[in-house]
Amino acid sequence: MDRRGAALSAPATRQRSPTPRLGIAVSLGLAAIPLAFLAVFFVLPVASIIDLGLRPDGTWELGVVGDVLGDPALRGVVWFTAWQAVVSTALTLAVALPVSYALARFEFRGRRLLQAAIMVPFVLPTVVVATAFLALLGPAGPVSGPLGSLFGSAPLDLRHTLTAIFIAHVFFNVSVVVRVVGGLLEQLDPRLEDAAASLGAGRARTAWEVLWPLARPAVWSAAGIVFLFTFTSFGVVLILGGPRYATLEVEIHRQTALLLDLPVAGVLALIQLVLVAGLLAFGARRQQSAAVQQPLTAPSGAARRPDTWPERLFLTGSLGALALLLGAPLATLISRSLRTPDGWGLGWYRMLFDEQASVLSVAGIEAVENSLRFAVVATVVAVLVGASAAVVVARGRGVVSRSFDVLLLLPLGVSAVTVGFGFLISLDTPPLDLRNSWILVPMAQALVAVPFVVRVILPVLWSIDERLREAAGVLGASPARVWREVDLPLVARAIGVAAGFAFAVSLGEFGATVFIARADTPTVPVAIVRLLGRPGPANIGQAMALSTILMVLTTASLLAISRLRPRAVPR
Amino acid sequence: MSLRIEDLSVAIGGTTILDDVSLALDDHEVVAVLGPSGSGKTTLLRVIAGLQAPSAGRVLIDDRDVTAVPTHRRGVGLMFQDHALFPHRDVGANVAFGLRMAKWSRSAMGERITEVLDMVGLGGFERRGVGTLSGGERQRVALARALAPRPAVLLLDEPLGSLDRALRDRLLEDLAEVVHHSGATVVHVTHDQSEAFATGDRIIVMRDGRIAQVGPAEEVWRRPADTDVARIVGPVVLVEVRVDPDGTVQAPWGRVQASTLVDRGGVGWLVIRPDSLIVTDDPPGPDVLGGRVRGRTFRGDHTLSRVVLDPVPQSSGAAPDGVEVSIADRSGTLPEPGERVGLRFVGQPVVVPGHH
Amino acid sequence: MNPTLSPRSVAVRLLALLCALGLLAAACGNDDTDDVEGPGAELPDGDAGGDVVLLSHDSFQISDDLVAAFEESTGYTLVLRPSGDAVEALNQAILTVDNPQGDVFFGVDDATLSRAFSHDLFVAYEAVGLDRVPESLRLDPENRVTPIDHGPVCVNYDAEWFDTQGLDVPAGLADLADPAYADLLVVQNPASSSPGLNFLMATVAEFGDDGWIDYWSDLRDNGVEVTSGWTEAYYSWFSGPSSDGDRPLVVSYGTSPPFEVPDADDLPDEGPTGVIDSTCIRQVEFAGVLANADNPDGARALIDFLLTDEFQAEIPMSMYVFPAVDTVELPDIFTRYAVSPDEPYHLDPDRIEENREDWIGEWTDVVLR
Repeated sequence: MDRRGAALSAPATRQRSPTPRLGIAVSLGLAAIPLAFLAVFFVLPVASIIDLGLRPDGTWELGVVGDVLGDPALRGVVWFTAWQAVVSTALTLAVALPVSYALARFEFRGRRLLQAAIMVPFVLPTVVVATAFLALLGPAGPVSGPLGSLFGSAPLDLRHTLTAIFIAHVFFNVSVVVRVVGGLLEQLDPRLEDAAASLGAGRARTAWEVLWPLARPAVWSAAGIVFLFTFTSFGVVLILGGPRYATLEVEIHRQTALLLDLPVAGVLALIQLVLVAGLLAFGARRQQSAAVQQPLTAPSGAARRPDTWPERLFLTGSLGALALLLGAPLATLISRSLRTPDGWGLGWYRMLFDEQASVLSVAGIEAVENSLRFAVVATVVAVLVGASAAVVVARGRGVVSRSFDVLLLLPLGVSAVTVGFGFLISLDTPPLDLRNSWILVPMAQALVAVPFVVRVILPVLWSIDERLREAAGVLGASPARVWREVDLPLVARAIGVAAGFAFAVSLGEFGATVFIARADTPTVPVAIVRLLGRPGPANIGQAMALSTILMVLTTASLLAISRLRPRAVPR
Repeated sequence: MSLRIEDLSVAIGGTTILDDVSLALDDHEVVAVLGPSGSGKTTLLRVIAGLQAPSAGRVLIDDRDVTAVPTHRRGVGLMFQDHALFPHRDVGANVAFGLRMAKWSRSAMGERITEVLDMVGLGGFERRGVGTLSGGERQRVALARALAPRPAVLLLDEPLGSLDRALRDRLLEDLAEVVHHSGATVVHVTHDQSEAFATGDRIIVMRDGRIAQVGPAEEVWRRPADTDVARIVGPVVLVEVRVDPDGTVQAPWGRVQASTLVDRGGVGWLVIRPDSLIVTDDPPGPDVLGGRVRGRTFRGDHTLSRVVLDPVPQSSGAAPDGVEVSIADRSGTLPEPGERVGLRFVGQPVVVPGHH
Repeated sequence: MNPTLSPRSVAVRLLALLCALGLLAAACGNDDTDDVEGPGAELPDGDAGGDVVLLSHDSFQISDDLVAAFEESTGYTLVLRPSGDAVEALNQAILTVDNPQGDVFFGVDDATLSRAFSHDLFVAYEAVGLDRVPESLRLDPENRVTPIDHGPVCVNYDAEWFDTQGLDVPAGLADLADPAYADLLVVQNPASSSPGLNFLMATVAEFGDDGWIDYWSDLRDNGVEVTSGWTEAYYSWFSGPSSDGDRPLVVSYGTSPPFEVPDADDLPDEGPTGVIDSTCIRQVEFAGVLANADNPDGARALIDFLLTDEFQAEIPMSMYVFPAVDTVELPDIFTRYAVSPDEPYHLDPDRIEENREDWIGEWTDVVLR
C-alpha cells in the first residue's frame, strides 16, 4: 500500500484492482529470488550450526538451554549487551539528532562532502578504527591528554573503558541517524515550520512542537537500527572495551570459534536471534503506528544559510563536535599511513605494489582489485535480491509482508562467525559444495548488503503514487509493462543509491569474509587484518595505507550516491 | 460505444461503497455523475475502468461483458482527479504513452500528439517537463493524454477539482467542447453542479452508494427526487409544507400552487431555487408573496438577495417565523434592503419528500 | 527452522532454483574442487594429481615461486584456504572432520595438539625429511603431525624506553611483578588470544600449579594491562617504534624484533626492541594429513614439501618464525635479532588439554574480576 498516497486520496481509491499488479507467476518468481538466497546463504547455514549444537546426535539436547540461562556469567553478558546498547543508542541520538537537523536545515559550504564522509566509519573494519581510537584515547593521545590536564589530573586513559565503547559506538552509528532522520527532515515541507513561526513559535520551539512529532517515526527507525548494531557489537567491545566486557556477539564468537562449544554457542545464537527478531518486529509495528502522514517536498528545498548568531553557534557547535568525532580518528589513520621511517611520504603506498615486501601471498594492491571485483559481484547480487525483496514487501500487506521485512534484516542480527561456520558445515556436499568456490565471498558480502538495499528501495516504492500505475494501466499498459514504464524509472535512482550502499558495505565486510576468502584473493579488510597480525612498521604502515585507500573508495562511491539521491530518502 | 452497468455493488471491509447501481449510456452520450464526497462516484469510475473489482454486478461495453477484463485491455480512458502525470516523462511522452501501448506508428503518433495538444490549447508543449507546468496546464495534459488513444469510453474523475475558480470556469467550456467532440462515451464525475451541467447530457445524482436520480440537468434542478438530491444539485431553500388530502399545498405563508411528489395528506418540502422566484409589482395575493429584503450580495452577473416572506397567522394561532429565501436577480430591479417586495413563482414549484 | 526438515534436503530443492536464477552459474556448473576460477585467480589445471587443498590460519604464507615449484615437481595443484586465526582455523577443521575442506591442515601447536588428536583430526604419516627436525620439536611419536616451524612466545621490550629511563630490562617473569616495573606490561587475554594463552602457560610452567595464581595476582596489582588480541597489545599499548602505546613490555614472539629494524641494509648492534630470553615458551607449529582427505597422496606430498629446504628457508621472512629444520641457513637479520632460547618453558600437550579451561577460568577470576 502506498503510505504517502493513502493520505492524499479517499479510502475508496486505495482498494486493489481486479487485475493483480503483476502476474502470480511473476510475483512468486520475485519472491523466490530473495527467499532462495536467504534460504541457502542464511537460513541453511545458521540452522545447520544451531542444529549441530543442540542436536548433536539426532536428538534434541535442550538441557543446555537451562545451563546457559542459569549461568550468572552468561546472564550477565545478556544484561550487559542490552544495557550498553540502550545507552549507546541514546548517546548516538543525542549527538546525531542536532547534526541531522543542522545538515538538513542549514546550507553551508561542504555540506555534500560532509554527508558522504559521515558514512565512512560505517564501512571501515572495526580493527582499523579501533587502532585509531586506541591511539587517540591513550594518555599520549590528543584527546585524553589535554582533557586530563584540563581537570588538573594525570592524562586520562580511556582505553578499555565503557567510555571508549560508547564513543566508538557513537562514531560508527552517527551516520545511520543522520541518514535516516536527516533524510526525512530534508523532505519535510518547510511551510510547516513557516506556519509555526507565523504563529509565534521560535526556531527551537518549532523544532520541538512541529519537527519532532513528524520526525518521530524516523527517529524510532534510526534508533532501532542503531540498537541492532550496538546490540550485536563485536570488534568495538572486544578491542576498545578490553577483556572485561563481552556482548552476546563476543561470547558467541568465543564459544564457536575458540572453544568450539557448539551447544552453548547455539543457545546464545538463538537468544540473540530471538531478541533481535523481537526487537525488529516491535520496531516495525512501532514505526507503522507512529507514522504521521505528511506531504514531502523535494530534498534540499528546506535548507538555508544560518542568519542569526544563535543559529551560527548551533551549527558550528554541532558540526564541530561531529568533525572532532569523525575527523580525529580518520585523520589519525591517514597520518599514520603517511608516516614512514624516512619522514612523511608515500612509502607504504609504494610498498603495496611490491609483492616481495608483502606478508600477504600477493602484493597489497591486489587486495584492492579483489575487493573491487568481489564488491561488484556482491552489489549485483544484493541489488537483484534486495530489489525483488523490496517489491515483494511493498506489494504485500500485513503480517506476512512485515515478517518478510524482518527476515530480510535478520542477517544483521546474526553473528558473522555463526554464518561463516555455518557455511562450512552446510555448503559442503554436492550439489551445494561451494567450499572452494569464489562465489562464497560475494555471497557473504551480499548477505550483509541486502538489508540496506531493501531499506533504500522500499520507501521509494511505497512513495510511488498508486494512481501513476493506474493511469498507465488505463492507457493500456499491462502489469509487467506498468512495472517497466512507471516503477522502474521512478525507482531507478534509488536502485543506484542502493547499489552504492551495497558496494560500500561489500568493500568493508570482514566478519564472514575472513573465514572464506582464499589466500590468493584476500579482500582489503582481510588484508588489513592480516597485516596488522604481524609486527613491524612495514606491516602497520601498509595496513594504514590500505585503510586510507578503503576510505577514499568508500567516500568516492558515497559521493557518487549523493548525486543520485532518490526522490524519497530511506526512512 | 454504449456502456452499461448492471446491479453493481462494491463492499470493502464490511462497508458498502456502491449499492446495486445500474446505468446505461448510449454511444457518444456524455453523463455527469454528481454527488458529495463519499457518495461512491469515484468508485463507480474505478469499477468501470477495471481498477476496482465489484462484489456483484457487471460492466458491459458495447454489450460485451468486460467485468473480468483487466484494465489495460478495456480501452477506456481515465483522467485522474489530480492528473497523475508521469513525473519522469515530458508532456509529449505523457501524451504518447497510451499511443505506444496501442502500438501506433511513429508518424501517426507524432501527428496525434500535435493534434490533441492543439485541441487542449497546449500546442508546442511537447518537450516541456511536467514539473514546470501550472495547474491548468497539467489538467490539459492529463486530458490530452486520456484522449490521445481515442478511447471508446472516457472517464473523468473531478478533472477540474484542484483548480481555482476562474481557471475552472474557463477550462469548463473547453472541457465541455473537447469532450463532446471526442466522440467518446463519457462519464464525468464531479461534486460541482455547474461542471455537471456544463458537460452532462444527463445528470446522475449519487448518494450513499446509490443512484438517487437520473435525468437532464433541467429536471434534476427543477424536480429533484427528494430533499437530499435537491441539496446536492445546488443552492436551495427547502420550506416544510403540508399537502392537504385534497392536494393543495399549505406553506407557512399560505397556499402554494405546486406539483407534488408527496402523498396527499403528508408533509413535504417545497423546493425554492434562487431562480424560482422573480420580483413582481403585483400586489400580494394568492400568487404573489409579500416579503421584506433583508440583505443582498453582489455577484457580478447577478445579485443574490435574501428576502424574508411575510408569515400568515395560522389557524392554530401560532405565528411561525418568517421564511427566508434567496433570489437571484439579473435585472437589478430588486429594492434596497429593508424595503418591501412582492415575489412570484416562475412556473410551478415542486414539493418533494425528505427531511431537514 | 523446522527441526524435522533436514537442511540437506532443503538444500537440494533450493539448488535447482538458484541455478535457474543464474546467480550461481559458476558454482552450480561444476561441483568438484576443480572449479576454482575466481575473479582474480586462474590456477593452472593439475594433471594426473588434481588439487591438494591446504587449510591453515591467516598467517600461513607461501610465495608464488614455491607454489610453482611444488606444482611442477609433484603434478598437483596447490589450493590455499586460510581461515581466521590459529584457533578459529583449527576449530573449523574439527567441525568438518567427517567431510574436510581440504587435505592438509597447518597450524596446530603445543596448546591445541591434544584437542586435534582427541577429535582424530589427522592420520599418521612419517614425512620424508623428518629426521632433519630436532628431536625436541617432534612431539608426536605416532607422527600424526609433522613439525614445520617454531616461534617462541616471549616478553618483548622497548630498548629505547629502558635506555632513556635508565632502568634495567627485567630479567625474567618474577621481575615483572616487581613494583619497579609497575604499569609497564601488556599481555593478551588467554581466552581469546594464542600468545596470551602461551604466556599463561609459561607462568604455569615457572610457578607451578600452586604458585601461578599468586603470581598473576601480583601482576594485576602491579598494573598489568590485558588486551583481547595480539594486534592491539602490540600496536596500541606497546611503546615500540612502530607502535602508538606507552608500555615498554609486551607479550609477543621471539621473532618479532627483526621486523622493527628500520633499515635492513644497515644493521645496528642492538635492535629497537628485544626479547627477554628467560620468559619464552616454546610454540611449535605442526601440519598433518587430514583424516578423510580427498587426496591423501597429494597431502603426503605436500607435507614432504613443507619440510624441504626450499620451503623451510622461506619461513623466517614469510611467516616470521623459525624453520623446524635447524640446518637451514637463517637470514642475517634473523640470526642477529630473533631469539630461539635453548631452554624455553614447555608444558606437556596432554596437561594443557586437561587444564586449559580451568586455567583460563581461574586466570579470569584473578585478573579480570
